[in-house]
Amino acid sequence: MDDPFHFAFDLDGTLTTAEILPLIAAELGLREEMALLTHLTLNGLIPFEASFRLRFEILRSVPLRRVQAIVAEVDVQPDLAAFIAGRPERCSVVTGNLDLWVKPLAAKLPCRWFSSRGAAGADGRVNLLEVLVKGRAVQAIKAGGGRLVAVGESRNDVSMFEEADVGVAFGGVHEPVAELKAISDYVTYDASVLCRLLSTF
Amino acid sequence: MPAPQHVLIPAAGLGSRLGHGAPKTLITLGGRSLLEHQLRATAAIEDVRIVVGYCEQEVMSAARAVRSDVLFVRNPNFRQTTTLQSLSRAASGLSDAKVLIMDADTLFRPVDFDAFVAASADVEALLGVSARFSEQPVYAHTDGSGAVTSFHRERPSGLEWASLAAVPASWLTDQPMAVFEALTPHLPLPAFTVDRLEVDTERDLQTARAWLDAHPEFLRDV
Repeated sequence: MDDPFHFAFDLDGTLTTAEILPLIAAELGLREEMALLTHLTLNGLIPFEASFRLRFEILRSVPLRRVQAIVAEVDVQPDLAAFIAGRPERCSVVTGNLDLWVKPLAAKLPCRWFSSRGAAGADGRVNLLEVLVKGRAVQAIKAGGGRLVAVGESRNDVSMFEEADVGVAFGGVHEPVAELKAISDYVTYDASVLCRLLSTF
Repeated sequence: MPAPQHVLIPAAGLGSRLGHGAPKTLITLGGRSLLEHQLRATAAIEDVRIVVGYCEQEVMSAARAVRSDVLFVRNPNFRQTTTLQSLSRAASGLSDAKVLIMDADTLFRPVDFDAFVAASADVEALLGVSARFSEQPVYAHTDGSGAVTSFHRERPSGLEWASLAAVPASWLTDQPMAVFEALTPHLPLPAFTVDRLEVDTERDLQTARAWLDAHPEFLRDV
């Protein structure tokens, strides 16, 4: 009897049709600077943890409610959302993004979530408590038994793919980074093709 | 029975005999790469899976220029594995679904290819055979009804295995052998004759180019 497969999805640029942090950065007129940081991070020129701390420092001056309002407007890829809604107990979102910021998306993607952790401080500003290491999230999912398919596109997904049984690089929004493709079992650029593949697991 | 809903194209190999450095599937004939010819031939099939390895980025880019919904199956061990093993990776998860398999470096005569696909709907499995011989043919021996009863590298016959078939995906097992060897336990199987050009050597390529000039029916219209 084969173990059932679980599915772990990256959020930004995989499940969402736009990257979230640049949208928040636009509030501060720092869209270009954020895009530069994102580009450097996607391609592994800055390690994810350092990059996220830097981006967090820049973006924490945006009031939390405003961030959540921006995130609430972010579209999720409809085929993938339907896939998750059809089997939420087998799906997880695994994102380095901050839990307080991406909370509005939990309603659109009602499965298990792993994210970086923050807390509202006494001064009303958000404090960063822990940056998620995706590989550890996958270990936690697999500890419950079963095998896992990981779906992502950036350098930050490498640790997730290393712990997964199957890796699918998905270029829905932008080209998956070479380092991730190099450890992927499948590469696709079409969301309905991705869902069709995932349905065979 | 339905026509195959899946096509698996092994394009991970080296094509080293041609000495071009680029993978064989990207060689152009009639103004299009061999890969593009395969994708045009299979435009009506929903699930297209291309196995990539050697020059995988170039092959993926070339495929995406023709069709945006290809599923790429990576075979990073392409130097140590056989075409069958590439196909086995592509067949994963498809259980007994009927799949079309076709080499990435062969130009099939369009009318024959389309007829093959149509004919494959009526049988559990169908093997493509050809009367035009490649450099190292795998001969197909047939019985009175035209079914293939055996394959032989050493014993000539009038037909050779054309590296084109419609088979249950489960027949494509992860074994270090040739595709025809994996099909052998399932013989006899019905055969269907197709005309095709293979490009294995520099001489094949020159011959093919001259042939196409004289035989435009080998090229699909846009």
